[in-house]
Amino acid sequence: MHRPEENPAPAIRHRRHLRNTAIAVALGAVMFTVGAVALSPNGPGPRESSTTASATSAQTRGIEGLRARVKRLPKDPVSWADLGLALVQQARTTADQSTYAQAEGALRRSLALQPAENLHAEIGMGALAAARHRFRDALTWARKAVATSPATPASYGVLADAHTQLGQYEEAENAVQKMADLRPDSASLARASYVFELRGETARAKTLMARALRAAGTPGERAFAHTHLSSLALESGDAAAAERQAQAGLAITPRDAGLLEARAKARAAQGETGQAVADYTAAIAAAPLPQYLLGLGELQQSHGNREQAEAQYAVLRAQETLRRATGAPADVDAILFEADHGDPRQAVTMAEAAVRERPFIAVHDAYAWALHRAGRDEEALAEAERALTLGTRSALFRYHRGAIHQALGDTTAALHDLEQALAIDPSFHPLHAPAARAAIRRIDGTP
Amino acid sequence: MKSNSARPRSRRVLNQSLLVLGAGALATGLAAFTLAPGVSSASSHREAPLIAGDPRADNTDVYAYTSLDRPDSVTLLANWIPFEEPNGGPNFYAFGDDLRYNIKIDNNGDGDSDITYTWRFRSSYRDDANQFLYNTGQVTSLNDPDLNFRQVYDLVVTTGGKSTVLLSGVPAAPSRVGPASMPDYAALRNQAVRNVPGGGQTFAGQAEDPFFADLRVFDLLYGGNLSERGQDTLAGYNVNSVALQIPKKALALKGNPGRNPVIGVWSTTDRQGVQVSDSRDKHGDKWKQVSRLGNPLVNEVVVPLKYKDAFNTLNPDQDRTVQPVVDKVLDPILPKLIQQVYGIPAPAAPRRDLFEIYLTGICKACGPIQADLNAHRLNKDANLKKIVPAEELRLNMAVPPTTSPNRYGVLAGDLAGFPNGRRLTDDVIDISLQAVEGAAQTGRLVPALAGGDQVDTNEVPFGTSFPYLALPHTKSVNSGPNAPEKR
Repeated sequence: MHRPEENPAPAIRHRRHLRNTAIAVALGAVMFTVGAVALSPNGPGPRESSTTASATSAQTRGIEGLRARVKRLPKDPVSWADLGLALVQQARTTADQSTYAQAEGALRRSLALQPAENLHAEIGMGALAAARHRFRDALTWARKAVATSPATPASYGVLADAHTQLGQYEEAENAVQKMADLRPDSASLARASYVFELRGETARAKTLMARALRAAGTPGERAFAHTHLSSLALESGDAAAAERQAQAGLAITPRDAGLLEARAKARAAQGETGQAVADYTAAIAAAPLPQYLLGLGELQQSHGNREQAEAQYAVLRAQETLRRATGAPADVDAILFEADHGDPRQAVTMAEAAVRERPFIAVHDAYAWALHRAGRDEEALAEAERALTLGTRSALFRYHRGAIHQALGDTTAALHDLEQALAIDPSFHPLHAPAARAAIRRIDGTP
Repeated sequence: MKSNSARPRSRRVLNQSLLVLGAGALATGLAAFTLAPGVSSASSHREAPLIAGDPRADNTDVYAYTSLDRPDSVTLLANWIPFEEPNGGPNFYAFGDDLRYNIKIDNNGDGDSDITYTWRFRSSYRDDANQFLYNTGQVTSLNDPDLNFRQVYDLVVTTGGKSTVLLSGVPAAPSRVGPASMPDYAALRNQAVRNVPGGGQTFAGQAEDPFFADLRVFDLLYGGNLSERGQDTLAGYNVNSVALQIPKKALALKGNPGRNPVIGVWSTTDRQGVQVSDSRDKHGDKWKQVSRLGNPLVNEVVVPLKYKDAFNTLNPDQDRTVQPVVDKVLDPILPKLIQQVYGIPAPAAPRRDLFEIYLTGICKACGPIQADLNAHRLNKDANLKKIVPAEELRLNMAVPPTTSPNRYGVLAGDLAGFPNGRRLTDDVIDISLQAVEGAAQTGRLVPALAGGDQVDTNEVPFGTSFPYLALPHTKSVNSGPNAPEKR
């Protein structure tokens, strides 16, 4: 049941003008920040709280404690490395460019103090490279860390993440196995869950993510586990359970962007559009990630709110302009956005570069979709097959392949994929789920 | 700030546009200022946490001593979850249901556990609908309906591969919420102490953290100095403890503490693993040891950083196979740093005295320390061929307890203290500092380090009967002495 917006926005008269303004504002400001990302000195922080000398407690001390510690012990490579890694993990939830720059500064400082066998800095640099989607660099750092300390679980975590994104799934599984054998904690159980999720073994993935939640020792870990328990529930078509999981996470970390997005999706699936919009909006305020912008934009578009959708798309275009200026490889969300709401040929170009850097199934899927939208369905099918090679239970991947089959005139295969997509999650996408239903009706020849 | 009426035209257009977009889009536009592409998480790439805090699994301290009020028994204590803020609501501190908490005893010196005591916890809510409430009213007993969250445990003993459930469904003492909710917490503590079949007592629950230290002394290792000392890093915090008082005959080799008085003690935590890959070796879902602790400060004094993770997974009988750790015992960094900073000459390596303290126990035949104190070799029925160097907290149960313990323990001639076992009042930081400076070998304290960390006692007195731990604090740590108590 679709509920009308609480505060319908007045119509826009100067849409194009607005879009240009938004881009100009975004560009100008980003240039300004990019120009200012030298490692900022840690200003006068709060008084140092009690700390212990052991590195293991570093993660629980929080970033402020670590900042105070490096101020007191500027020659200690371990404290600099721990600060760097903590900043990487914080940046993951805020997507803040300046935090990554600070993280790199702290890690480089650690490596300058101790260039060889600097375990924590090697893990930190690997995590930073992965966060910046430089997965080959991440692999190099992870291997260094493994050589330094063959029994440290976190090194295998970086290794597993990099192998996964590089499409080396068997190596990734072995790294996760090693990590969990060394220490079955929240970090390794979450990765084990992901292995089964990618294989399409959803029940196993849920069980393990629930174990990761039980083992979680920090609010960040609990938020992560709730986020993915929510998405696992949603992707099995259980929107109510998905909302409960997101709600439980938000009770612990109220402004976590990932959890807000999870609740937005769960609410959208249950027809609570107004609340979904509010959650997306809050998520974007916390971390303006392309996936949130696209999620909100397409949700608005599906309800005929072109202006609100266009507002999100304008920011996505500004981000794309920036990306191209920096030459970084495009992300999946940017490719799908370009394919669906921009220039499909441009999306193909983006996807070609992305899949070279990162032959992960989700990138193959985006590449397939870009090719399809550009009318190159034969090639698209090959990529869609690669996206589903692990047997992943993804409604979106299924829908994409189904649409490609349909374009190629293979209605039997199309029907099968489209029905599968809706069986996995009847509300998998605000625009594509209705499209899938319409396509099935057309194939069946029912009016 | 300028008034709105003075805005230039272009600004007005922009503001109007943003106004039209609504607050959400405004936030979007502003937040985009800080987003550069290529450094963002993406829906397709999840960065799971890497270095996790795992405080429920990480051992902090182990104690083992002859009970002063029951000298035929030994008291064993182990702690987890350091730095529990007394005002910890709404998340009070619980043991992990997914963990096994173990105290292990090696009575023949082979580095393997001969007797393992295991605490396994189960959590429940009395009122499932109110899971955010720890208690719904005043709690006057452990089975008070107002206690909403509760944990019970099974106590299991394992010997020779055979496990026996000693007690089932024993209540753990709850986190201390405050005087209004728990007006007589001591009564709750007493109700959580239970007799063990075959003799002895068990306890599990929250307690004041008995460890006292200014941990900044170890910043020497990281370029700090000893100028900042005298502040108890752990003052005011609580921990979660398990405790066991057990007859000596239940622990000694062949049940004979007279002939075989020496035991090695350490504590571990296990969590179940997971089988992920299709490798032929399918033992992934077996329980794995994730944490381990015997001697205090072993991580600070002995184990190099890059081996800390390995050390946590090892059984003591494997310690001697990790040569870099053994090398660090024989040639530690700390005395060299002290020499650099303070000019106190470091004793010559190899440090066979430290090898005794940490790996073999002390005996005249074991090394340079001229005493027969707590080596497994002193057990008359021990097979000398099977004894291996292994990091354990070793206790000679035949040494009578001291009525007024000296905080320096053995170094001050009080043989009932660390490194012969460990009592709650033993000043292990000062003892360890003196030991690395060679005091155990010379028999003399190093005067230049006499101050140690300048924290000599716990901030509150300990109890005189089992479990001896002080009751948990109720005042927020950083609130000063006049802070209002938690309700």
